[in-house]
Amino acid sequence: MLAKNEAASRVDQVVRETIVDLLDEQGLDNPGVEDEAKLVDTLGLKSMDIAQIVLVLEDELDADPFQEIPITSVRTVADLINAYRVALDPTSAPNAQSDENPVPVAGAARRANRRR
Amino acid sequence: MTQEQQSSPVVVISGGSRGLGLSVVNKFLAQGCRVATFSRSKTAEVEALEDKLGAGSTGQFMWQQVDGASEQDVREAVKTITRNWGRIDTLVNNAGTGHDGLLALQRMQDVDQLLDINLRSAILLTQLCSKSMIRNKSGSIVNISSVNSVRGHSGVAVYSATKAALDGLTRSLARELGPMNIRVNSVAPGYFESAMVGELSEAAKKRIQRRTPLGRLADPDEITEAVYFLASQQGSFITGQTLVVDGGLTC
Repeated sequence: MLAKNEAASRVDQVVRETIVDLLDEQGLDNPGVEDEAKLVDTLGLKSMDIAQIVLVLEDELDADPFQEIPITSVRTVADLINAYRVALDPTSAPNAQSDENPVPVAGAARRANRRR
Repeated sequence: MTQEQQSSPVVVISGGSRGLGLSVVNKFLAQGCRVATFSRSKTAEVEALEDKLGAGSTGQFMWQQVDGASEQDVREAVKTITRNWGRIDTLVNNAGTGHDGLLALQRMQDVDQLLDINLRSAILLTQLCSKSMIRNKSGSIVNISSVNSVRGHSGVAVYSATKAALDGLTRSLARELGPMNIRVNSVAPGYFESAMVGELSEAAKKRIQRRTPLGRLADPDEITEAVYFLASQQGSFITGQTLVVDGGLTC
């Protein structure tokens, strides 16, 4: 159980650090990477920023949850942490997802209007 | 591998054991790049390159046996490249196949094979290689399309669909990856001396030559030069474009 908690704690730390590094690199304000912080609306991340975070996390944690679940299901910092926890330990109980706006796919609304 | 080679660009070329792919492999090797390629079977030309340059990751040239229709094969191949060489700078999506015939008479399993190899596998390889490019905020992708993507030709409807889809991939991905300093372009070759053209009758070849303003088929090296131009720094401000290299056939 202890090892399980340590692993979960490491995921938590690595995800938050990676987000902070990206905010720093992009010159964005860091309003705090709290659980409920929304990646897009609170932190101001764009879809390519999130892609970069996911690629760094793939290296750091050796996991890519988004081959199994859609990235659009991730809205908050907690959602992102949870996605990696579940990918690394499928027995982890998934947290309820927030009702906030999901990560937008670049230009999705614009393209949806064009679809016939 | 020399120290110079260890810092040289890494180029991934699908289907580089023969024809145009082999010509592209040789071009990038001649420019000092490290070249990784894969195909279903090894050819005498690949063996000769391995003998000359060293087989596997220790040399400048790496060949792997891969079935392009197998997602697992493609994933493993890219993993091997990044594990050994640490990065991918350029991707040339060259592997492709063709089944001629009227659509009404084509078997769906042949349609599926065309979609799998010409399109799905290229998309997968692009996804995997672009991850390395995004990490490095630099890269170049060249998709090998076809004149069939820009003009209609009877008997190649599904092949044309796969190549036109690659051009669509090129344009949208250029917009998606441009901010990361990654360029994406297509080369649409006309008819050149290859196994696919080898299956045409002499009368069909003569007809193509008559309709081509330059009056001949291309040499694969002429297509390769266009690929290299777009992939290299020479084409540093070109992205999202399809360069037709067909001797004027479609002009």
